[in-house]
Amino acid sequence: MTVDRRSQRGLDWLNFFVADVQTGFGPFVAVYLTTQAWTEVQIGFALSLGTLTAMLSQLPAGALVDATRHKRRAAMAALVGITLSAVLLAAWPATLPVLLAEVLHGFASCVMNPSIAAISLALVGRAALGERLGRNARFASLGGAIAAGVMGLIGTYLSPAAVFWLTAALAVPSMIALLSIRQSALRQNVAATQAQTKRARLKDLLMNRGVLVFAGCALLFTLSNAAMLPLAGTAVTQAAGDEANLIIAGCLVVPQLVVAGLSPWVGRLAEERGRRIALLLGFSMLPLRGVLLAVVNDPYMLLLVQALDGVSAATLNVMLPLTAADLTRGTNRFNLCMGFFGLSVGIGGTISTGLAGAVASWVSPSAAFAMLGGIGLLCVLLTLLAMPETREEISAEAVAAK
Amino acid sequence: MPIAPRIPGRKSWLSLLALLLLAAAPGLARAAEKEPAASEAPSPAPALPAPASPAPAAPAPTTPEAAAPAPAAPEAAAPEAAPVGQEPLPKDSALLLLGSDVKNSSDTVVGQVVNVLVDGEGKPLAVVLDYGGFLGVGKRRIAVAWPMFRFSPKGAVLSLTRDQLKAFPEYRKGEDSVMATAVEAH
Repeated sequence: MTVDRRSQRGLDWLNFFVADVQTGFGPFVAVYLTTQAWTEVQIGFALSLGTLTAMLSQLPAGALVDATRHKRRAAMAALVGITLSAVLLAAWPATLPVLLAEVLHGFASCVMNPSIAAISLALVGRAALGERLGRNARFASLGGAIAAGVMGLIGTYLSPAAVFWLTAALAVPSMIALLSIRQSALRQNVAATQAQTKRARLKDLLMNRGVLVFAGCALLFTLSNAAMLPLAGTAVTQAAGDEANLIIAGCLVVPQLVVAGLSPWVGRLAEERGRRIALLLGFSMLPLRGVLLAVVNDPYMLLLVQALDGVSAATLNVMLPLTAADLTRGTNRFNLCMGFFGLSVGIGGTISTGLAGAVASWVSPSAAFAMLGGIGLLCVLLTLLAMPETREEISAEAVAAK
Repeated sequence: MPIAPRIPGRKSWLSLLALLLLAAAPGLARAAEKEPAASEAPSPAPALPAPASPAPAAPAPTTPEAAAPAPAAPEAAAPEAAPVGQEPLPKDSALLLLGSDVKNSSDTVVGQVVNVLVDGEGKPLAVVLDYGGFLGVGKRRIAVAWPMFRFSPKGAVLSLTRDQLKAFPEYRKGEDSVMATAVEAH
């Protein structure tokens, strides 16, 4: 396989700019809608609608990306959708446009994600996928880190609406990056995958032990992980005065930089020493972080503990698509599997913030951190006891044993 | 794969389904309610006094123009409904408070106005703020007493600093709370 330099670069920057765009769609949407005189109920409804759409679309979107020969076109359509929803939010923050934007963004993200993974797989093939996914995660986290810094400053010193205009504008370089990936570089691999005769259906996927266990791990992972940052952010604002925002900015940016530094190494580790080692190493940061966040009070120490987030995030960002690729070897169900994992991640994350918020306000923030750490420990145990090694040779034996 | 972990990071206080079930009805109701509120703001045609043509002629139940539908329900039967006066409201004379950015004395945005609390006479007591945070992470909801703000048509300026407010308890709707105020010197 010839490695197409230009296409690889294009994919790098695609990851970078898509992460930029998605940063704007994070918790900041709530701030933005507040400035548009939206009430809490309205905001909650709009965000829940977006989350619900994202969950309902994971599997159909995955199947769609599997079915199409034109992975690039799918990614382009998703980018157009995300851009449109950013423009809608920025230009016309009335009820219907915002709800439409949330639905559009929810669905488009579900196409975007597997499309990038599918392009990666088609570009480099299975053998080099771990390394490529590491590179994806590196550029995505760099993009996320820079975007978080810049958008946070704009939100603080200019206006929240300006953040959304920037979000919309950043879709343009994303498209340019996408267009610089050569369709010809993908065609052969895509055709080969689509020619796979074994047409596994969703049911077969759900019967696969590895798929189920990893979906469980992914759910527990975000159930444990998603609420840690907001909770730590609140802890920081209560402990620190004028420098609080700077520390929170650090809590957003530093883990991303850790991901950028670490994710190629995670990809290599998974290729050379096996998936289980990489998963266990990354997931074990969750209970560690939970315990440390529960006992640490000093804002700067909190920032250090948050940096551990980068280790586990790098692991999930690289290992989720890699495991999906492993588990669907010889079928054309890679993106359906990605969608299934994405659904697990979404469910875990949705429950996480509500659950941790309730425990934090009824018991104490420390208890909430301890609970989140405990869930993280369950995630590690599930991986240790039930997750099969999915690297090539071992799974070939498993296939032979059937 | 940077997207998935971020979606759940959004603030959702209840589990999704529960929230949706709860929020669907009032959410849509509020949504419908918001439209007129939004179109109400840009009404820069106050110059013409209403009683110009039809008002004195017929003070009948049909109110002049389509002015104020508010008192229509209880007094629909009474023929002596007073005509509604119109007072000019130039656009720079007032501040649309809800949702506006709150700045500190050094002109940095420190939060957004979420609501205003008034006492039994309608006098403002406190402003409920989404305070602090970076990109939506770490913001807290607090109530700050009305006199702690300086208002101008450009926005509200908060005189308290982050250091003063750092450990201030959160405001919770429907519960006994506290509002931030200046320490009185005796």
